[in-house]
Amino acid sequence: MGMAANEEPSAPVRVLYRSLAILNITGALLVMSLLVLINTDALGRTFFSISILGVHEIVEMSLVAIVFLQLGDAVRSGRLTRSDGLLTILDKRMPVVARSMRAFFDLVSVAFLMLIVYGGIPRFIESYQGGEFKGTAQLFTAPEWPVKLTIVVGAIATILAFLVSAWREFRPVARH
Amino acid sequence: MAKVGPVEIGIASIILVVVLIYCGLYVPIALGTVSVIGVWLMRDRLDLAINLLTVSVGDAVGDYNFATIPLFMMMGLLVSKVGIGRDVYDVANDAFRRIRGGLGMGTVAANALFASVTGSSIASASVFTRVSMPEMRRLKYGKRFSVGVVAGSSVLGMLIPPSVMMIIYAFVAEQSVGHMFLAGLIPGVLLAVCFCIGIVLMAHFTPGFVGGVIADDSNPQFSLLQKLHKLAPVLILVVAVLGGIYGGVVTATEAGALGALLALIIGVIKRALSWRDLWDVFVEAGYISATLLFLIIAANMYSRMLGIAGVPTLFSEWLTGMNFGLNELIVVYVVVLIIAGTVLDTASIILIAAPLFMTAVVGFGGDLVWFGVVTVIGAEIGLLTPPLGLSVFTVKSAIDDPSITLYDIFAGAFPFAFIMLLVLIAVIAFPVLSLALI
Repeated sequence: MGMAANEEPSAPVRVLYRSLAILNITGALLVMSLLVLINTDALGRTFFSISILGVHEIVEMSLVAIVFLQLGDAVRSGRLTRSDGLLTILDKRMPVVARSMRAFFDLVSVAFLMLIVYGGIPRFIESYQGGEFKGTAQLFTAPEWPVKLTIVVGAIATILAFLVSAWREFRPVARH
Repeated sequence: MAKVGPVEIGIASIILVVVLIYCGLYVPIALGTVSVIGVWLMRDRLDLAINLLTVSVGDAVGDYNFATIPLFMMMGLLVSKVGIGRDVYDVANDAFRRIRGGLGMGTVAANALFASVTGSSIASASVFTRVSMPEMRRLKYGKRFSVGVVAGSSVLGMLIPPSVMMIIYAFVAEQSVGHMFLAGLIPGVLLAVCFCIGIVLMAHFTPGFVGGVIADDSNPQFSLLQKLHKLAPVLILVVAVLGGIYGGVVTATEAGALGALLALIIGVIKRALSWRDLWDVFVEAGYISATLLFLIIAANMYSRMLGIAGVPTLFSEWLTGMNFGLNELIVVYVVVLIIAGTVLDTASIILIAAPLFMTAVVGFGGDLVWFGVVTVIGAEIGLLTPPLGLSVFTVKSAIDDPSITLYDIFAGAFPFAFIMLLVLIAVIAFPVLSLALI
């Protein structure tokens, strides 16, 4: 990964990385808004007996969104949780095996996320057309479809990040 | 295809998860993929498996209480940036400087204080590598001891509340986050005290390992007022966060939000935060939370899959059939935790191992809050043991000295890992240590 990182990424990869960064920034803004929202609600309730309606619902949906907004960039920067003891040993002794395994694992990840997309698209359509919402009718409601859409978009971005990662495992070899 | 029962599939899936993770597949992907395949084989319907996936993805982390993770992460990152680590170190050092091994004890005490305002050991390890290593090296403390004490005492970060690992366990076991925080307090303080006693003993029996000279008086002494000034931010945060939870004034989530806000205000007052720093904190908190929450989504699928297979119930019955009691069960569990700790991070261990044993623990009359403290300490021993001791790696990457190898840090941290094991045994033997405050 260290070798590949030094290379200038090609144009489509640059576009992908730019998009991942935008998702990432949106996620960070959501994290920031959680801080503001929960504090405003708690302080308002304690000192002025005013509580904001729907804080629980907004927070719950934001958490799911944050995961899928940040996931792609986490994959790009190699921060997804893994135990790389064996891979590190293989890197020195059998580099080709290590690279093949990394690429294979990236492709397994692609398959898994494709299932999320496959299951997520009908859920998005359902929630959009059915007008599904969280909260209590007449008091506070928030539509669910933006979160369902975020899951699908974030998962697709993550798939692309994994594909780039898998492809990069073999680029240094192909050059020789 | 020969008829294979759900239990066999369940057991095979556990083995497959372990093998895949060991080979280096991303932990959440391993858990998620194996769960989908497991449910598919058991029910012979792919649509049910995908349904499980979609439900977990959409609902597993959509819980108000999970907001504690980004919020406490933010608080920890903010206090690290603001230089609170340096301040508590100065005060702790002042108290212990006249004792042999005093700088080591100062590092432990500073870590214990710092732990009460951050939720992660990794933050503690990187802050104190920079703050206390130079001072220990200056006073000729042993190389291995210096790095060992920094890595060792960093585990206090995840035991003394607030603690992200306690939050994660609270969700796995459906316990209150506030209760889990309080349960970690006495064991955390006990561990810090035992580290200090251990340092005194090491300084006495293995002076070559500890090294160090008694501090000269060239360093500035601090007046009581100066010390109070340095400790004020920590005191404010502890009173607001833990006091709020303990007094029942705020929920754990609100305490996290309040703590992060106060840390931000302290940073602004101390003029120690630029806009850039602040933005970095939000991005970093987002990253860490997203990877943790994704892991939780996958672990949620995995434990549902095991539930469908009936593995925890079967495991519990099997243990009863073996004439196992609670004590034998916990011994087996701790061994599993320590072995898992050699290849896995703490969060993954908690999410994978705890659901498997919980049913049996409840069956034997064990308390799940107590079991949580055992789980967190047991899983954290892995932070200090090779080959994948995360605290050790953090110290290594924060250190600017190629002459100190990973091996040195592991060797130096070993006595501290051993002391952790002793404290773990005490926590197991005396559940009151965990349950007294609840």
